[in-house]
Amino acid sequence: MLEPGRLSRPIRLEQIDAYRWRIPRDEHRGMRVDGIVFADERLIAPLRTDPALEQVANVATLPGIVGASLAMPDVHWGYGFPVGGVAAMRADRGVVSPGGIGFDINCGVRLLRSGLVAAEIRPRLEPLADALFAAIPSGVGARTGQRLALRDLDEVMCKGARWAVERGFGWSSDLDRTEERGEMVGASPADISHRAHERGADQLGTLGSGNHFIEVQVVDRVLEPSAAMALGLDVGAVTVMIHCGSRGLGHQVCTDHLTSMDTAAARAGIVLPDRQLACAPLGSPEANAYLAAMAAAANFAWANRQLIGQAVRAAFRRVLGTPAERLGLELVYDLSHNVAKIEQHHVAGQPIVLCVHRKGATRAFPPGHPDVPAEYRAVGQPVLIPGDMGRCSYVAVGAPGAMELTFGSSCHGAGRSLSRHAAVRLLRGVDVARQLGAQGIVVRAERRDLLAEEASPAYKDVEAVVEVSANAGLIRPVARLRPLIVVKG
Amino acid sequence: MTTSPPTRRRPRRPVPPRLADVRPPDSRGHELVPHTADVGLLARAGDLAGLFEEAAAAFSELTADLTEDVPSGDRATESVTLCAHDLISLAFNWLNELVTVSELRRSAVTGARVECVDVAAEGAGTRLVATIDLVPFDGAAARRHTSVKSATFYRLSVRQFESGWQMTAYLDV
Repeated sequence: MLEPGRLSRPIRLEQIDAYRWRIPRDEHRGMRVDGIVFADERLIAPLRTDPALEQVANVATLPGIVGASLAMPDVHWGYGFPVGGVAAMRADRGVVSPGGIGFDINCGVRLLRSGLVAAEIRPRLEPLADALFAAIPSGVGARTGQRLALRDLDEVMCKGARWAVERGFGWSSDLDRTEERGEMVGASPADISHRAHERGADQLGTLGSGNHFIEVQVVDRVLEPSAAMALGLDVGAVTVMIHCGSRGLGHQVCTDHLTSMDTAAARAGIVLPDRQLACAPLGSPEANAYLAAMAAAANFAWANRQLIGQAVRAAFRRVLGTPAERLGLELVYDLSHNVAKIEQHHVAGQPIVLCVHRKGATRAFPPGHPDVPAEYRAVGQPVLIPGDMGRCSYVAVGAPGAMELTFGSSCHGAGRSLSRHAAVRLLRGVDVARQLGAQGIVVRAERRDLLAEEASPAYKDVEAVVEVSANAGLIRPVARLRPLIVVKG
Repeated sequence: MTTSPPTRRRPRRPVPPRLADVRPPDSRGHELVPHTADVGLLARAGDLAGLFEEAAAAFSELTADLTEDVPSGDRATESVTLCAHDLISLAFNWLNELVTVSELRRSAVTGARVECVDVAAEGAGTRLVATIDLVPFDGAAARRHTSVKSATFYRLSVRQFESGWQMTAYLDV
């Protein structure tokens, strides 16, 4: 293998303060606004020569972009947009770009809490891991073995998580604690291709592969007791985190619409530094069709995580012999970190309607925001931040700074620091499962080599990412979670 | 011309080549290229048909572990005809065809035979006719490896050199 790429031209970086760096607007690059990277000295150092900065600059060239092209502290090299990128476009004269959402539309995170403490499940970790691994199809091309009829699939894409709850796969309170209530409005299955239907028909309720996972965790530290109480998190309590998205259906939606956007951008005379940034003016037929298809795929993803969440409850019931209701396996929150949304924000004191693209970035609305579930409104929207399978993850809540600086957004995880190839090379000869076992973490994976690709050294230190996000005023950390069981696709 | 006094410098780490700087050798071949989140591929061949076959071979290497001998009864094929307005889009469509066929047929792509790649006059479109070779994942001959969500347009290039053609592409995994 050749080594990774590098910047085509050096990117100028100016430090704004301890947690922000500016990529000044460069007219030669066609930048319409600055780029802003949220990082401290530790996180910015490896980024200086990383193509992610070039991607931040490229996003700044898109028509209608407002404020700045933003990079969250977990930013890393992606395609088109960087992973960890946020861009807000004016609804009246901006664009929507499928590359600013990504192929895995509404990839996101769901967190369940429980009334269990770690000591109660430690003797049962092995059978619990087996039960989770058996109950939730994972791995490349995972399928349920049950194929949804076209009409049912269309209903899933319209109703999202509600479709699953109506069929007994979950509780009505789950919907109250899901972003958009798990049902994005404006979804149109008519804008979904036959091929996308085919790819999605038997993948509902599957985890997939790569960085998708289910973790059983324990709350090992509470950082803000009042918010932790509101979220039902206590030291020693067992939680379950699920990370997955819209599977082949979402991937195909992005693929299909990129092609039409490629043509639309050329027709609109939009000059792009990267064809993966293909876009269409908001309000155009191509943009409307994409947003309707994106909403449909997002709803598929919410139904997917709803089904997986319910399968987790069933696995706990089978292994522990107690119904999920009595185990207190309630949803804390379910969020998307790959989506575009039409939102109202204030820019220079004026209200403005924007299309906010978050690719590998989490919405982080502060206390009092009407879109935060009523029961959490006093503390802010939960922000779920997976770390890596050997260290920890975080639960935070949105802070007022996010509305001022990032259109209500924050980091979505630790962010990769090594390619899969480099991680495998680094860990050659290392038994990752055994290492994790020595830490008391039980692992189940479809492929053993995936564990090396996804091991801790492949990721940035999530503690550093959370610290920068908090110090920049985007979030308030609430609790730290340590893994007990890791299930990988 | 002036010379600077010698200074003590840390030895420079070798700078990896950029894909675009790599002059394609005369021989056919392919390589996988690391990317922080995803995976790149580099293919080269003397003609366009060979280039698209090499891209399929790279895809196969990334997505499947194959045994040396595949029983003939396990083999299957899928015939495809693709059109696009330019070569870049044709490469995008070709790689995504491999992704989708592999997923829907639950089969490893073991290679492809490209009958023709027609490049019409500038702007008039391109066309590819090919047969994709497959082996089912549920048998002993093929194990799933890396999952590919989609090919991307990011740094996607199809370039002609004196000695042949070169494709670079990044896949979302």
